[in-house]
Amino acid sequence: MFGRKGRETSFESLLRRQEDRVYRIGLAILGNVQDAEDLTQETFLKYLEKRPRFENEAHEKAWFITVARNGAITRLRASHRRELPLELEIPTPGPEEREELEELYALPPEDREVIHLYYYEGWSTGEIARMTGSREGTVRSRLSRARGKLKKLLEEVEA
Amino acid sequence: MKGYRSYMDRQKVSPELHRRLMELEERQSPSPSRQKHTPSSFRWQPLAVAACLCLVIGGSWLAFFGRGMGSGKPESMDYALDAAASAEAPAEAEEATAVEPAAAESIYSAQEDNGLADEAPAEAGLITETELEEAAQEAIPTQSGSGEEDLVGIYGPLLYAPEGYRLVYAHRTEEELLFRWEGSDGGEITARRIYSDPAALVRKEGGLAVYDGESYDWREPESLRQEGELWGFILDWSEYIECYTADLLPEELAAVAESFSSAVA
Repeated sequence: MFGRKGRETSFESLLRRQEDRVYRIGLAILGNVQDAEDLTQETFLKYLEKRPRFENEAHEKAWFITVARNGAITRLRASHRRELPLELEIPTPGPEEREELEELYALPPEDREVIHLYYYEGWSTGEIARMTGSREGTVRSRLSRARGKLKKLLEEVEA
Repeated sequence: MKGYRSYMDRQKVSPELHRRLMELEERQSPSPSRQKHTPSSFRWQPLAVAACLCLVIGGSWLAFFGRGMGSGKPESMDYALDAAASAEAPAEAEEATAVEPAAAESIYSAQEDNGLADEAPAEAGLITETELEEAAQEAIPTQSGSGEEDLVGIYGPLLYAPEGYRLVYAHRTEEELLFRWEGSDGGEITARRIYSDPAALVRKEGGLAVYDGESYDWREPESLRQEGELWGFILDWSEYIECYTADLLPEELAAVAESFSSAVA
């Protein structure tokens, strides 16, 4: 059983494996450092409450991504309910990244989520669909829509 | 996406946040004395204006009625397990050629109209006065316990509560978490979260709903009905991800119960 044979048993080891991943998901979806930090704290608090047993490292990764992603949705929904949209406030990108980041963060959160999971975490549309509880077609649709908006950037990358 | 990748690669938790995360474990480890602690003061909540529900659901009512009941396991964990099995697989370079119509609503939008207002109240059996009374047998402390201020500090910013309400009590045992919020309007909200039970039991004296924000905790509806727990429940219409939250007034409970019973029949 993962985490029971002296491989990576301590909470600190788990933190070092997952904390940046969780934080980046928060930053990608919420677009705000403070909220991403709160989400990270909340996610690990949930871990400590539940202490789930992970079958392997991939399972552990999937659990943290799922919980972080759902936590981000909860936060966005709460901001809608309070009619206080979250403000975009991300760490300053480098000069060569600025244009791409500006266009990406102009996308709605659900598109940013798909972009992040697909292009950064490297998940397939089928995997994203299962994780988010969506139809794969919906994921593809969102990805296609985001791609359309980012077409110029993608063409530059492919060139 | 090269710029995005390089940008994200540089984003890491700060040493300060890492330190706070490490402290979480220390705070979450109950001391022996805390494990045995029993709140000294209890009060039974009146039921006249009892509970409201805050449903967090993925999908629409129609989608739910069209699908079968799950296995009872939290579905998000199923996704995690499924995803884990293939998470290491390389991303498919597939193109989205067959594009479905885009979802009409943002998955993050809060949709207030749940379509229940027009439903006729019914004695559907899911939420009854008897069950309400049974649920009220669960005692929730009304006085802040000593030594729990750290938990208030941790959970206060994390749990959703209506405007004007602040968390004043948080107590953790091996089996459950107890919370109490006080409102600027003099109202009070209490909540009981059982670790082995994804549903949070939430009630407010005299009014609006509250939900504990644990949206990843999907609950298989039938088991909830069997146990008769009713203060708050979470349904999963997980075929679709479009989510909305519905705040229900007490008089709407019966209508929810009717819809719920129809769904699981």
